[in-house]
Amino acid sequence: MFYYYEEIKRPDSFFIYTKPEFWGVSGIFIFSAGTFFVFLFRQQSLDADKTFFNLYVYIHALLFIVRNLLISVSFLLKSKTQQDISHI
Amino acid sequence: MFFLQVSPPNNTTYVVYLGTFGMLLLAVGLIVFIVFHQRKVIYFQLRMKKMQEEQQQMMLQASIQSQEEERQRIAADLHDDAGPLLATVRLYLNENLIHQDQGTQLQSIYNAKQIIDDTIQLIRNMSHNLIPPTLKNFGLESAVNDMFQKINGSGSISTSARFHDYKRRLKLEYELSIYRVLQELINNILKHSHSSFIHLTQNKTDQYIYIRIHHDGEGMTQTEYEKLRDNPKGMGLKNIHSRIKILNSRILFEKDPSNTYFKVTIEIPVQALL
Repeated sequence: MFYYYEEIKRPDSFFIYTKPEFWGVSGIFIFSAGTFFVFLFRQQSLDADKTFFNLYVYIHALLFIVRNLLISVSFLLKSKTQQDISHI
Repeated sequence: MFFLQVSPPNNTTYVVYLGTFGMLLLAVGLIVFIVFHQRKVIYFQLRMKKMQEEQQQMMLQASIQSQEEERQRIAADLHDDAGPLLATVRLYLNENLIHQDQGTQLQSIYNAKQIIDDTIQLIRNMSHNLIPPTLKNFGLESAVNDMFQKINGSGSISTSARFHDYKRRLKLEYELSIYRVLQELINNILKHSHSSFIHLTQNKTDQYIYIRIHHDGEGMTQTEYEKLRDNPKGMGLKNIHSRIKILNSRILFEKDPSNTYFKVTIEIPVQALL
């Protein structure tokens, strides 16, 4: 959130989604927000409740995939930017 | 096998469902908001930049055009006034002069001398138009007084200038810019306002020099000035604007609350000019 705050405070001439760090930060942010509740109730419900266990696994897996995908986009953009710079 | 086992959901599961959904919605909403907000800001900045560039372009064009007009005026003066005078002198001093009697020779030389004096005067006037010698030698106050004296001489309008605190002269190029702005303003007042008097005052604080012109004719307000300045036809106001910008100053066109006078105030920062 601090990253987003800084981006809003100091807008430069580049769109935020062209920056690799935006995708990385967004992946981590979505993962953290989505898994907040499952992690919060994990300790008390995981062993006792099978439905919760299923839910935990699904949500965690789904968001883990989303996070990794977004981080991959970040790496792809990073390497593209470096290539563009090395051409210059 | 765990995945296939279904048991009725309890309260915690609902809380986790809703909580996760809410948190995801919040996170995605925040990201979308930031992306759109940043796009809006960037587009706004780009638009502002474009507008600034357009205005600069217009100023540049106005300054080039005024330069060209000045050159054309000088060329026309030289061609139409100085050219024929010198050609006439040449006629008086042709080769046949030595074959003529002494009286005719003396008359020709005298006429040629007269014409040469006229040419000298003409060239002097032209150079005075380019940079007034009073401004160069004695400063803005004297140059303004000189200009007002000439206008007063016409008898159709009364002008007066009062410099309250102008002991230390500014650099010549800044004085010239201020003088040109004043000249343009006075010229506009004379041409368009039909006023009966023009009064100029100068005051100074620690930070600013204020030059104010009052007149009782038809003037304009700041909004009208800005509108006319951005009009592609108006050259004089554009020149005023670009000179004011170079001086890092401000110009304000106002109507007096009594609705009798119009005021033009130029605010010049002292530090930038010394």
